[in-house]
Amino acid sequence: MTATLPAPAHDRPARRARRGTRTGVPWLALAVLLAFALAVAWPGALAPQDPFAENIAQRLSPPSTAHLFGTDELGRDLFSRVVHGARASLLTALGALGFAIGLGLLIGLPAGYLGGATDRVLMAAVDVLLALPSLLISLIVVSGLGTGRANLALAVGLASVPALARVTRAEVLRISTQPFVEAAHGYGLSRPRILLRHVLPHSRGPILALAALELATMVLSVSALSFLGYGAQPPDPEWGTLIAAGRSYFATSWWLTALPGAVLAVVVLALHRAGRALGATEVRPV
Amino acid sequence: MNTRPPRSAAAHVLRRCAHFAVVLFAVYTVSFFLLYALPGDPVALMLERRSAGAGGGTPEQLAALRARYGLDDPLPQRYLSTLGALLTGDLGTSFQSGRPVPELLAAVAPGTLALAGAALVLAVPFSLALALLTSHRPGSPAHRILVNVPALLAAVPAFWLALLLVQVFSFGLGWFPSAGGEGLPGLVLPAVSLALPVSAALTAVLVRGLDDVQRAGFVALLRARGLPWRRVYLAHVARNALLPFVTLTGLTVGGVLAGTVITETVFARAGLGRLLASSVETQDAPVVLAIAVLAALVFAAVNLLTDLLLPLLDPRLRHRTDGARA
Repeated sequence: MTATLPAPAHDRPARRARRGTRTGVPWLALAVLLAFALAVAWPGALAPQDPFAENIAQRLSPPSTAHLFGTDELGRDLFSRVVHGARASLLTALGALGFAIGLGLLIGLPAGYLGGATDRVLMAAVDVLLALPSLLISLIVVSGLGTGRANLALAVGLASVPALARVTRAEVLRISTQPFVEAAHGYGLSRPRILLRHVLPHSRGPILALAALELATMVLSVSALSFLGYGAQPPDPEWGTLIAAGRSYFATSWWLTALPGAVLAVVVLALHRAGRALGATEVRPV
Repeated sequence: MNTRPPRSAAAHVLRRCAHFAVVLFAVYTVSFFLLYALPGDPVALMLERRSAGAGGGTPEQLAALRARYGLDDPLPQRYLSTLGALLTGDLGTSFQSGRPVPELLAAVAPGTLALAGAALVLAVPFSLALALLTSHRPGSPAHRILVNVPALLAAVPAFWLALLLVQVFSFGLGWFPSAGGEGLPGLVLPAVSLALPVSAALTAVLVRGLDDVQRAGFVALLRARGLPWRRVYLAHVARNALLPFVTLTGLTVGGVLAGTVITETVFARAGLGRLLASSVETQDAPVVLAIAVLAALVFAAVNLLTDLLLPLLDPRLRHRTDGARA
């Protein structure tokens, strides 16, 4: 990271502290995320080959210039399948994020703003979700709702609701004591209006930062649950499903498991980087 | 402030125990309604599986089974009767196999306990060593490189990491069996692949703690008085930074519990995680409910234990809780 102003030599601790709290624009991570956004919106632009076209003569061929990631047991181009799989994997994770943010706001905003008994009841409900590891929550939901991508999104999203609700509540508590909120009260604005137009916009920074990190976790959870067989069904390409399918051949064809997993790790790293650039510091332990 | 320490300490323990019971009850309630109140007919699914897709059962068979499992009773009544059964230690009967749930759990529990124990034994010292090594010289090139290791480990899908380990150490080098191995050699790869993602989070938190403590004034004072850095680091910095690690070890147990689902599937080991995965697939609600409540019991018990232990380890917390609760 290059500093715009030359810092004096004796200023090292201060400079180090600054570097720890604020990071520059993560151009590389942004470029990676843009590439994945393109893969979701228009996979044909990145991978012109048909992800479903079988070519038995070319089955299980290792990575080459013709097949960047090699081919699978039916001779389908793995790179195409990974690029087209981005839609299933990432859209499911985005759906989960949408659900988690929605429910998180629905719980966190009234809890922080109204306080008192409302706050205690809502936070106690959220704490119940924290009493189970997040993967277990997702598994229970999948078990109740059945498999499929939409159910998977709900299952994964629910596991992130506690974190988002807690951050929202903490932010609302912090913003609500600011003088401008008091001024809005003085003008006689209604409480929902103050909450949505004045408090919420000022809380969005930490919520967005956490959302980036949670999205990374969700991408991992969606792929893990798909790997277990609860998500997209073959032949639809999805990253976890691709890795699960590659297991049958992975003694001889390493690329079938290794390369989709590497792509998955790149997305997660880019999202972590973006989250840190937005100011997130928390790493969830489980 | 500290006039009646014994009584307030007892009150603190009681409060925590009550909280523990409430959490368990709530987990049961939430799990029960998620599993039973949602659409999906487990009995039809069960008959279809048992007859291997040969068209399910007759309506009479369905009705008889529904009656046997009490699925015709209204939901609140089933909620209460299941709760009562759980409290007397009756975990119910599996929809899928028709066998009692405790029997199913007991058959596979030893494998999971061995795996989880081995993973914890690997993860805790490994994260300790890696964190101490990383934070030894803040700002040094070693720190800048090593600090990325936990972040990288946390970004990698756990099931993929397990598969890579198999590829390298089992197919490539031939050191360990790839799946289902017996005894210690068969335990190494599953334990390592379960331990690595867990130690990522542990290490990250510990490194942050160590880095923070090093900026404290007393460290500068000790250094100014001429203590060798190694002594300051190990005896003073590490000791102060270790406390969050104790809390996190509790959370680590939760991570290990959840991780067994993936690890046991990848390595085709019989265990609670794999039983859970297959029960989720067949919507075998009694088994899923039993495992969820059991997992919550272990998870909450470990957290309760660390909560109660922490004031014994850290006098500052002791005074604070006494003051707040008295």
